Amino acid sequence: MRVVIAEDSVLLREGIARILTDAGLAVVGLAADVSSVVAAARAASPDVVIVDIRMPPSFTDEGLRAVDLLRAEHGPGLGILVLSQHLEPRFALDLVTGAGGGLGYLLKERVADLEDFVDAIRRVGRGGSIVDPAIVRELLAWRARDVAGRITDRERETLALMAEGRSNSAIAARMGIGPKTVETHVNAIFSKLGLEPTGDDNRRVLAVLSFLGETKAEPAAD
Amino acid sequence: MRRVGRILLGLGPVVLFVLPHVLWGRPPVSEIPIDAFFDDVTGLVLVFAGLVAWDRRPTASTGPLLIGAGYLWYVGSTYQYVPPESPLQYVSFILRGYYEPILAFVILSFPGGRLELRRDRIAVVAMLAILAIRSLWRLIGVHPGFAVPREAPPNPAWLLHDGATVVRADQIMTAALGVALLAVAGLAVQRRSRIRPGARRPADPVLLGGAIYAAVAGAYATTDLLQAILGISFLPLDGPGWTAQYLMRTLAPLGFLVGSFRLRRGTAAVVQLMTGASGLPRGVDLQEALRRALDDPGLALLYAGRAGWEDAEGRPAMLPGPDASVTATILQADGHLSGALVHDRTLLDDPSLLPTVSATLRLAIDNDRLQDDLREQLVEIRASRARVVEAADGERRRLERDLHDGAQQRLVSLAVTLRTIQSRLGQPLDPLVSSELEAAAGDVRAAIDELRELARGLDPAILRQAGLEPALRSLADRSPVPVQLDVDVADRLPAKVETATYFVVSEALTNVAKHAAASRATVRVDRRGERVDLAIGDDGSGGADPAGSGLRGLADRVAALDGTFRVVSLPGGGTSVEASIPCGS
Repeated sequence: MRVVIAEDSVLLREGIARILTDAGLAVVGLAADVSSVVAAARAASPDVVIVDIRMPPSFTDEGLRAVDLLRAEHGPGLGILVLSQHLEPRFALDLVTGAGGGLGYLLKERVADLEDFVDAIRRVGRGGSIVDPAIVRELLAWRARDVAGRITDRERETLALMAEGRSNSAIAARMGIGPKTVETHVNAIFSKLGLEPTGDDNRRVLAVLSFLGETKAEPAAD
Repeated sequence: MRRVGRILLGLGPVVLFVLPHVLWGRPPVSEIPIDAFFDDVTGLVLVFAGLVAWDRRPTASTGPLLIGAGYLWYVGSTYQYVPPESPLQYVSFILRGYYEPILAFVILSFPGGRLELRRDRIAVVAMLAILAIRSLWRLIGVHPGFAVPREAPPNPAWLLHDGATVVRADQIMTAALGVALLAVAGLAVQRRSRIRPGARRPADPVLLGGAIYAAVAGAYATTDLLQAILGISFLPLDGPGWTAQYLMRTLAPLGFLVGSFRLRRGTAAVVQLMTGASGLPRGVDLQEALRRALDDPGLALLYAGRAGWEDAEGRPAMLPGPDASVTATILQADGHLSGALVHDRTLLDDPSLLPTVSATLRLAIDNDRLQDDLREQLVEIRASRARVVEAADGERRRLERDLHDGAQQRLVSLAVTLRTIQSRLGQPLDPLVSSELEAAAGDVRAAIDELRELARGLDPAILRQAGLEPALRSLADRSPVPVQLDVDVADRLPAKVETATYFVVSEALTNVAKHAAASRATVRVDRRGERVDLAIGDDGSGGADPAGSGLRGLADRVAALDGTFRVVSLPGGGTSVEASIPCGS
């Protein structure tokens, strides 16, 4: 899998490159700002571009502009993994569900969870939607009141892993249960939360994320 | 009330004019000889002139004195037609002539109401003294058989029996009064030469009429004595000459009347202007009002500016030179220069006018200046407060960026490095090393989390990256108390308005979570024209202290943007925080 890394911090850029190379991915381009990442993506035809959300010159949201430009030029076929230091669930959700696939939002320190990080790159490269586990945790916390009593703890754990964008087999491996059991949990979750069942992995993630991102329900008294 | 009093004062002479005809069967007005008619009309004109002068110069004595002289005129002439030998006739005869010193006083002091020279004062006092002595003399000596004065009434006191002596003494005193009157005529002529040509307009008719009157009346007052001593009369005592002298005497009240009409409204109008209900106008309007009040279309109000004199429109101006047709009165007190009034020289004629005007103007100008200074300072304070808040926000942003690009970035790199080391060390690993590495990685992760929270509190990146609504939604999402959020703001607002709105909502929701014991909260943010209105309410226990540091800080932040801030928190009634912030460019 061919990867371009856009990160203005040299230290981190080299670190990420080493990790990816170690993991057997091909780092085909390095960039430090918007124009160079657009140029690198055009030149090296990567499968995935990793974009730091804050880059020169203003260090605010240049990364998002890069995402827009890359999307416009390469379409959903190019996977984009946005790295951010902001734990802003609403922001992340809007970005990921808005892209409709092939887009991930990870907190920067997730780079240090080597396997997860590499796995996320591969999944985004295949058109998956990824949301950082920390964000999923916060989303679940918001909806805890709604979800509580409706689904079991195991189902809740399954819901979180689904929201992170993991496949059934990955969920099974994580939870140490069989794929069949995972499927049972998934079906139960979808029917209990009133979600539309779907066989497509990516659409499943987006449905779950949309559910988690819904505005908190009003108290019963309202 | 004052107006009614003056109308009554004005009607008095008319009544006095008519009364004798009704009471004592005087011939109808048409049959009164011309000389008697002039005599009667004189008092009326004096009172009327007095009323006019009083209206123009309420503070000067001229008006009341002329009115008094008019009434005394009637008192002194009544003896001619009241029933003979009645007490009224007697009183009238004794009190005859007291209007003379009053007229002399007015002639020599018009329009200021003060006698400036010692000799003027001596003349008036002498007349009063002569009159007093003559009254006393008449009280004890007047006899029914007196030939002179011609219509002398009977004297109930009749203490003196030597008729010839009494009459002679009376004639001497009357003649002395006449001499004094002649002196007044001379003093009036002298006085005219003392008044600058520009200031003669109101004084001229008074001095002219007064001098003629004093000369004629003085000359006639001496005729009885001269005739008694020399046996001849220098002046006509009947015929056209007699009528002519009456006509000339009437010139004095006419002169007073014309002179009074020529008086500027002056002080009265200025006082009215200064105490008007609508307050004193400012700048050009004040100058225009002064021009009207002082009847001086060339008047200019100059202000003491930093670089020199400025006119009412703020343009540089100069004081008139010594040879100019206008002059300037400097508005100054206690060494503090307020301004200057450039005006016609004739305004100096009324010595009471300019001190009053300039004192009031000085206060008005100083007051305006203080108000302007205050307003300027207020604007400056507002601007500086806004700058302080902006600087603080800028500092927070800078700190957030430093944290983000510095410490956070390094910690992430450190975490990556730790992981890389861990994976490169290969297996099996010394359990001690492995657990130390794990602990280090955990510490780094915790540090990253803490720094992230710190940075978010300093400057919420989502606010600038995604805008107000997502940022507020993020706040609502994170609130432990369910929040109903209602944001109606279409476009991005100025950054400082967004920041203030964000922090108001953030702090208010934090308070709800901490103190309110609320089951739900509402946040409403609407843009209405050039303002953003926000309201954060809860159904909690209320009783929040608006002076508490958190709310106080919010109030300051909103006030720095010229917004309004209000907290309503009644015990048991929930808390409502409302703010309205202007967001025009």
